[in-house]
Amino acid sequence: MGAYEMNSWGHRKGSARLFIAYYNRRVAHRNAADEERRMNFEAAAIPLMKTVYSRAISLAGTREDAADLTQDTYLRAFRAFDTFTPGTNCRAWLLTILYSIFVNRYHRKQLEPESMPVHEIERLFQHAVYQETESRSDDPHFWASEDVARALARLREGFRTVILMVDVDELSYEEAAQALDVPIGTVRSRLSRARRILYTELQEYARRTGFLVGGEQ
Amino acid sequence: MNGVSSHVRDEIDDLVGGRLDSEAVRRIELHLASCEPCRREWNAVRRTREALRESTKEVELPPEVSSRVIAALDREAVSGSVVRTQFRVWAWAAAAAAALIAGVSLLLVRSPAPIEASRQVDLAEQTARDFRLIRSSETPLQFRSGSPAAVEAFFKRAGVSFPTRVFDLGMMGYRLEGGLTHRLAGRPSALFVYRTANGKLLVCQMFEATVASLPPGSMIRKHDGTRFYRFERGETTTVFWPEGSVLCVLASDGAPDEVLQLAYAKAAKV
Repeated sequence: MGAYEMNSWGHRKGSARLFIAYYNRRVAHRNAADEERRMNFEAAAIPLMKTVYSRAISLAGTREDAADLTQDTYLRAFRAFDTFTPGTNCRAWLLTILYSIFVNRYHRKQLEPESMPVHEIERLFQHAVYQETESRSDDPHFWASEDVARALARLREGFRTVILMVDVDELSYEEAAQALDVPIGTVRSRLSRARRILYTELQEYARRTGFLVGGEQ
Repeated sequence: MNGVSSHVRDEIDDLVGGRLDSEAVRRIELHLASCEPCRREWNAVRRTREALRESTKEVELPPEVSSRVIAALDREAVSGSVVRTQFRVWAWAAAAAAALIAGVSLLLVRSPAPIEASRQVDLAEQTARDFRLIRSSETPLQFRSGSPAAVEAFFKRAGVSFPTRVFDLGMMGYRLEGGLTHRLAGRPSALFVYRTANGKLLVCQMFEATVASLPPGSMIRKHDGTRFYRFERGETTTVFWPEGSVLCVLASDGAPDEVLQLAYAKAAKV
């Protein structure tokens, strides 16, 4: 073996010792760095797990899928933690990863939201807007939370994902576009349509339950 | 109806989302004041956004989900990194010899199963429950004294086999009240109680166990070379840390960070 041959030469034996010492220092340094990285990650990301899990439920629909999604998000975030800049918005960073995984791994096929022509969405929206009296429209609690949740769940995923990202999680158009891997213009148009579909749906609930003119009660 | 499209239609969504500069906001607001179709549309979009934000609340995080994520991160930390061991020939030889001896010993001696392997107990939940029992006086103290030395002597008299370390927290506003011997996860535990002037309770326990017996899902903090494991069980915070063969735990319904700081202050390197 080369190492034993080198030992027969005095100076090369010393070189082997130096190498071992150097290797041990490197190992100790890297182990300490790994430990510090894990601690930093836990300090930044673990307190946000409730937020991530909550959004995972909104997206995935079931607690089981939400748990999978949360775990996948944290694993990917841990692997990519070197790309996170300390002091920046860790919540937005984690949520962007969550949405990205959801879109890419879980529901890519169902994300095309073109279920209804744009002009039809607009027509229904305008109809709903003009059914509402201005005085009524100022009431912020006019719709029940359960109705909003139900209407949100009924949105196609391509719309629901965008409206959650931008309106609820306050991600920028750029962050949403990056996570969804679509142009910013697509984010804007989906957001606009999502809001109008949601409004139309909520007004329809209100009409059916008699809270709007033309309702059953 | 369709007149809206020739007004500020394209900017309504940006206005609602707060994504316009002040000049654009002022211009559009002026328009809205005099244009009913645009005002109706703006109001509908604004209210939809508000209702959505209002109704999308965070849900409780089930403990099993956080445990699962932490366990996955633990596995990732091990498998994701290169196995980095230092190059020590004698250490390897010693480890191999130790493994051989341990293997032979296992064949010859049937030792009792370690507590960690034999019991599925949630120590965080148990210590939180102990805290609640002390707080409600359902579990009375067996010995009352404000002297740490006297409480340590009580534990010795009561047959606690490991050395206890009852500390003085007077500097932090906690007065020692006394202690009791107890069982935690089937092992003897030395339990002692502190209280502040305004009645805030702090319960400490020491018992023979290792951190491997702790449930997953803790927040881990490292301080001065010691790892601290923080759990939340209801309104009770528990912080565990090892001291040699003994596991120490503080339990309180105070602020989690405060409990952690108390643990940092009193942890002894062993």
